[in-house]
Amino acid sequence: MSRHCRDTVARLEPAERKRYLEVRTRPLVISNNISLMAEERKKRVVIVNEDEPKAGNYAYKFYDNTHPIRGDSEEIARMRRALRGLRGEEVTMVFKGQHIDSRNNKKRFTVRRTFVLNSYQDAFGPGSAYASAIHYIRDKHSDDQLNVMNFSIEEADSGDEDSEYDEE
Amino acid sequence: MTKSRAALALAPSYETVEPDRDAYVQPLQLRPLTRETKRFWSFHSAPTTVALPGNRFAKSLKSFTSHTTEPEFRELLREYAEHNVPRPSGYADVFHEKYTSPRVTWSINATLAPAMAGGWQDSLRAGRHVGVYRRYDMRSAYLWAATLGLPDTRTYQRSLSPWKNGNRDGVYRVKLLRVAPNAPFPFNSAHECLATNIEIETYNLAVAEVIDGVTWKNTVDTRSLMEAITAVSTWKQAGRSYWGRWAQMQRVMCHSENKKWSLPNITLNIPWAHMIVSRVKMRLWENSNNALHVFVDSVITPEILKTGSELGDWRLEKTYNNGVVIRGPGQYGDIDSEFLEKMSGTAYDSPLRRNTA
Repeated sequence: MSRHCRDTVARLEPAERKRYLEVRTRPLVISNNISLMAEERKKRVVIVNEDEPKAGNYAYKFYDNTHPIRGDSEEIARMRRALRGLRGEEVTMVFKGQHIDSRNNKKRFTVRRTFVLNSYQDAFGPGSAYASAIHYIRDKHSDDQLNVMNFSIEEADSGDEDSEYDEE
Repeated sequence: MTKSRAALALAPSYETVEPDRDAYVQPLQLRPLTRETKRFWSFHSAPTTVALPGNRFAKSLKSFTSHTTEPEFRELLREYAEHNVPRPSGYADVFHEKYTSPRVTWSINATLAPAMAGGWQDSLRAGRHVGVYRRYDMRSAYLWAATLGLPDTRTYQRSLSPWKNGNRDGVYRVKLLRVAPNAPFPFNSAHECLATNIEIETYNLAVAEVIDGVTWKNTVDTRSLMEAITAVSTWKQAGRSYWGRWAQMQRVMCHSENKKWSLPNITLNIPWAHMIVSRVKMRLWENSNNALHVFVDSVITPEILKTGSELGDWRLEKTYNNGVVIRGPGQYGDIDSEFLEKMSGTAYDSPLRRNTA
C-alpha cells in the first residue's frame, strides 16, 4: 500500500475505510500480490448500448467511440471505469456480438482475448484487444453487419477458444 | 488525375480526340476508345472515363445535359477550373471537391442500403379530369431538404426500438404488417422498407418487425454544405444530384488489359440519403390530399397551394383551365392538347403521346 493510501485509510472511519478499500480507486491498494480478479472471483460485464442492450451497437462505431484519441469522452470515461483497478493484471476480455448477413440471418459470436492490462490502449483503440477481436470477425465475415452487445472482463482464463454459434 | 499532368495545361478537345489534350466526347464515341486503350472506368456498365496514351483522359459528356454546345461547355469548364475541378465528370463535382462527406462504417449502411427507396412517382387518379387543375413544383426540393440539418454521424447508434428513443431520431428498416395505401411510396406498396420514427408516426405505419436501425442525438448545421453547392452557377443542377453518392450502392469498375476490379463508395451514408428523400416525400404528401398525380417534387392538384420564392416553396408551373389527362406516373397533359405534355423517354410528336386516354 502506498504512503498516500495508508494515510488516507488511517484518516477514515472503519465503515468508510471498508468502502474505500472496496472501491479500490488505485490498484496499489491490492497487497501481497493477490490478484484483484482472483480476490473478487467474479467478472465485470459491460453493456455496450445501455439504452437497448439487445440491439447493441455497430462494432466499428463502438471502436470509434472508445478510441483513446478521437473517441467520445463519455464513452471513454465509462470504459475507463470498467477497467479501473485492473492495471498490471492479466485479464481476459470476452466480447459478445452478432453478425448479420444481407438476408438478415443472424449469428452470434464470442471472441476472447487474454492480455496484461497496462493501459487503456491495451483494451481499446488501435492494436488493442477489442480491435483484434473485431478484425478477427471482420476477416471471417467481411460483408456482414457486425454488432457488439457486451463484453466481460474476467480473470485470465484457461484459454478457451473463440466461438461462434447460431442465434436461437 | 493530378494537377501536374501536362494535358491540364491545354484545353480539352470537344467531341474529338486530339494529341496532347484531354477529351470530352459523347458516350458512343467513348466505347470504341475503351477497346483501343483497354484502361478505363465504368459505372452501370457504361464507360465514364478512358485513359489515353500520354497520361491523358477522355471523359463522357453524358452528364452535362444543360450544356450541350461547345461554347457553353467550355465556359462551364473555365468556371469549374477556378474551383480546382478542371476535368469534371458531372455537375456535383465541385460540391464533392469543396465538401468532405463524413465517412460512415460499413455496418451502419449494410442492412439499411438494400431497402433504400427513391422519390414518389404516382398517378393517384388516372384518367380524364374536367375542371381547373394546377401543377406545382417544389423549388430546389432536395436542396431545401438539406437545409433542415442532417444527422450527426458521430452520434450514430444502433437501435431496434423506434418507439423507445424519445430524444433520439432514427431511421429503421422495418417489416410492415400491411401496406399503408394512403402513404407515399414505398409504404403504399412495399412490406419491407426504411422509415424514420417521424414517418412511422405520421403515416401510422403498422410495424411488425424492426430489422435494423440507426439513431442520432442531434443534427449538424449544413451551412458549409449549402455554400459548397451554391459556389457555382450550376448550383441548381448540383442541387439535384449532390446527395446521390450518399445512396449509391453501385460500384465504379476499373478495367485494365488483364483484370477488372471495383471501387467501393466511401461516402455511402444511407441515413443522410433517406432523410433527404423522406423530407421531400413528406412535404409532397402533406399537399397531395386531392392530388391526381405526384412526381418526385411536383404535384397536380385542384387545390391552391401557397407559393413563394424561397427554397422548398411551391411554384405554380402551369394551370390546366379545362382539365387534365393522367395516363400513368410521369405521363400527363392538358385535356385539350393533342399530345401528352410529358411522357418520359418518348419524343414529343410520337404517336404514343397521342391524347386518347
